[in-house]
Amino acid sequence: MKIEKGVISSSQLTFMIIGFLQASNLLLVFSSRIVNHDSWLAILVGLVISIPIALSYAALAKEFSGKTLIQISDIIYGAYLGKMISVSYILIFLLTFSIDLRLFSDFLITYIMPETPIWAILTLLTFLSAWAVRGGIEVIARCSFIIIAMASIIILSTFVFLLSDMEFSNFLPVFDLPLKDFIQGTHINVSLYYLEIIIFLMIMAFVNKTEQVRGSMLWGLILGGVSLLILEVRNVAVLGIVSNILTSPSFNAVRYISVAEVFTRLEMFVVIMLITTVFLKVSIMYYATVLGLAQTLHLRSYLPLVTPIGIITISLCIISGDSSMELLHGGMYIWPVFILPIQLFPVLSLFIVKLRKKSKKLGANEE
Amino acid sequence: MFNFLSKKLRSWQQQNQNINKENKENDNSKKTKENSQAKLSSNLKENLDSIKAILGVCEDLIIREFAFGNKGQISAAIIFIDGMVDRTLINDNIIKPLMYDNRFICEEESLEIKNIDIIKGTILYVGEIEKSTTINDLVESCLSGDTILLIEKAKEALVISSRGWETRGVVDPETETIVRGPREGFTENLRTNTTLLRRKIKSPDFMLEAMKIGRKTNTAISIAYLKGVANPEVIEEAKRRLKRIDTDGILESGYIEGFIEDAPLSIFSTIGNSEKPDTVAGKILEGRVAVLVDGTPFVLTFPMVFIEGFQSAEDYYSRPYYASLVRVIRFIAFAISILAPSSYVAATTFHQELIPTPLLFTVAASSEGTPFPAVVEVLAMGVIFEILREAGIRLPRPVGQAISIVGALVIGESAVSAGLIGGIVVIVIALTAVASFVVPAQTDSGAILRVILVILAGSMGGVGIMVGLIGILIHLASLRSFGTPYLSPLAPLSPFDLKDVFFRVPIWAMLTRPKSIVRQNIQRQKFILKPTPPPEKKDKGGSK
Amino acid sequence: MKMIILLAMVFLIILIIEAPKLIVNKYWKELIVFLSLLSLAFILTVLVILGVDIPSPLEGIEYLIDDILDLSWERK
Repeated sequence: MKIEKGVISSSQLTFMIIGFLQASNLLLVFSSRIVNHDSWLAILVGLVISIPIALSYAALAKEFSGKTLIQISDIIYGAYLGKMISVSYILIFLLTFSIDLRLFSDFLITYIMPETPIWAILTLLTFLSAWAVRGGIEVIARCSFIIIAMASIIILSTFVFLLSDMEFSNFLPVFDLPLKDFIQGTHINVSLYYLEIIIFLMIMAFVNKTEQVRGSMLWGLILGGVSLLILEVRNVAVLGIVSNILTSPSFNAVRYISVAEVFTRLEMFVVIMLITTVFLKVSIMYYATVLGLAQTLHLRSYLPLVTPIGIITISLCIISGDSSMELLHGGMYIWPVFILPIQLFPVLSLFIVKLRKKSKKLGANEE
Repeated sequence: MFNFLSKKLRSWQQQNQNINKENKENDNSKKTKENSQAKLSSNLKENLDSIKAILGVCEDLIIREFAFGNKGQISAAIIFIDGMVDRTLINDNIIKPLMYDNRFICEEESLEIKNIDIIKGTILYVGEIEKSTTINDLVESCLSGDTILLIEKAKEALVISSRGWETRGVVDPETETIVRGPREGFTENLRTNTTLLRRKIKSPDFMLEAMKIGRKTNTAISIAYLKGVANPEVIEEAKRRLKRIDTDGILESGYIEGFIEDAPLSIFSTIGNSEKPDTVAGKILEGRVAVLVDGTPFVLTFPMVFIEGFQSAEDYYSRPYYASLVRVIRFIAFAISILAPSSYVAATTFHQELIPTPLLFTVAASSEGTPFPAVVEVLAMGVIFEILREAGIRLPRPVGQAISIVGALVIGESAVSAGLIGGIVVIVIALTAVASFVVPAQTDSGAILRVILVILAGSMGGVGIMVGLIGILIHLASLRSFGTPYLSPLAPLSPFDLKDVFFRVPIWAMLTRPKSIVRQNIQRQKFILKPTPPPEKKDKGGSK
Repeated sequence: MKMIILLAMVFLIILIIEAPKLIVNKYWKELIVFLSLLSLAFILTVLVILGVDIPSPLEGIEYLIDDILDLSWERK
């Protein structure tokens, strides 16, 4: 019996990746604290570096079409080692999921609902995502187009409205920082959002046309990266050096919009965009976690895991980091280093598979 | 404990099943005992007696016994229900040929006409005649308006189609009024309705399949679709779901809808309905399946998608630019109808900073001194509006409109001047009310969404509204109607079908049927149909 | 204490909603996983409510990367 009966199209995969990256709007601060006004360059270089890795993910998915990351590692590394690797993937998914949720709730509490206790917001968001996850991958995929359409419109229109407030001299001097800082900033960018799409290895198995996965991965990554670039350029051009010390530069930048003195205070659109895209991202991660756990344990259905995992995530969110400063420090210095090997692991898997294939071929030829 | 629970559950289910079985058995056994197996005998008197025994003392049952042949030697009887038959047809085309024309034939021939096939084949002037042998069939067809002819010494009877009763004429439908387009609407008569459709689609591919549902009402329904276009799986699924229905009565197509819809617990309806033949014909041409039910002018169509509620038949009759503008306005109106009250609540209670300063003063001045918080004001006004609307519908028509307008004005006006509610609340509710009628298909679901969103906004502000909207989005995305995702063509996106969502492209550019609904015969017209001026003639001999 | 009783009620409701489906379908393995995860969740939430200082997994990661492996960007 198949655990997930849904099938998604390759364009839906693209939309999901774009939405996933657009939700990283909140994480932009991590690298821009280090590379300052050159963050746009770090984003661009990060994108270029991530493309080949993402393509190798796609190649791995194509090699094992119809299999998720968990099943793939079971096949490559055998039952015991495979299980260990699967469990570490799932733990990482769970941790990323809870950190993103936590960051977003911190944002909501700081800017919009200062009086609300954090568990209420967390429960609300988790409940929404659990609802979507229970509907299956098809429901998340169907939500994705509407969400990214709205988010893209908001990104583009705020960019246009802010054109008059932009100071492009804010970008000068270009590349005025030590190389080490630049490498660190790029590394943060790559690990914190571009290569997070490792999670899509859990979802690519359900794409109806496997040969198109590569293209949709590439397009999703590029379009998502470009929207991040637009956001960052807008923030730095409007706010200048200030943008690096704010918790949410997007929110503050959009406050500058004033069309005919009537359309002011448009920052609620930033919140709308953030809520919807973060909802999408969190649902995808939630789904990947639950599905991965169910596949590791060879369960027949992932539905009974949804509620307990949700509650565990809420408690993880509450205990992980007493303040956003702690999270910020972890995100800037620790987390990227920790997560990079895991993100590069599928590349190693691909390498092993290709080697084995080749040796088999050679062996066959010799015989 | 759970074992206990599940045992309870199971035993309960079994009991239920047993009860159902018993019911069925009872019904069936009664039927079998009384009539269904009973064949006609060759004795006319006996036959008449057994029919009388079933139909009892129905005062509208008419049994006319008579004799025919050149000497009146063959006795016969016709049975019909008064009021359900066309009397002229019975007099002129059944009784007259038998009693009058047969007087002039010779004796040998007269003996032959005892044969029921000869009567059917040579004497009666009626279009549709069938033979039947069981009493059960006879009673059933008699009750649906056919006339039964029984003849002495024949073991078969003729069922003569003679249905004709008083019906409402084909008139302008009240629910979907339009400016341009055909004015006819469906009636309560199934045959008239199928005729209205058949007159629009004169193709042998247009299929009408009959079915009877309802143990007691025996309601005739008819499944209409276009063969070769409609998805065969949808037709099969529809038939399967319709056959499943085992109830005593179907009084309106809403009953059928309740029995066959995909999401019975959702507030959104996954089956569309329409009162206009041109709308239904358009949907059938797009590859949908329609179910017509006898006794109601509302025809069901499915698969239904969310955006169908925003389309109107008139969009296709008017020019594309204006039609597209109206489409966009409908979407805006729907957004206003579900979002305006909750936005007002959220903005005044939680996000005063979002209101532009000049407006803020006005809002503050109007809500100054009102005793209730914004949520209560808005909810109360919403309830009052729904009451007025309901009263306006139920009251006799001449009174109704006056009451609703005067009621709204008086209540609104005096409540504001008495300082009970803010003036802006009245404006918001009025705007909502007007906007909610722009999209008739979603008026009822919109009313519920509005309340939910107002409560969410009252408790959590803008974030609450967003949470509500995302919840609605998840729910809509999880719905399906006969295999078609409810949000298609938006999600899953099929770019080609966007031609008919936020704007309507010109008719000549509507090349395909919606891909999410139709699997075969997707192209609906020729590729180059854009009107162009006639090619210029090369030699203009005459004009020189 | 009130909070814990409330919490127990929430978990009981979840149990009542989810478990019967699994029992009826004879999904025993799923039931075991569900119950063990749910009890883990219950323990975690109770500890959070009681204000017990649970070490955050992030601190562990920080210790691993920073102090054991000495790979943090901060040090270089």
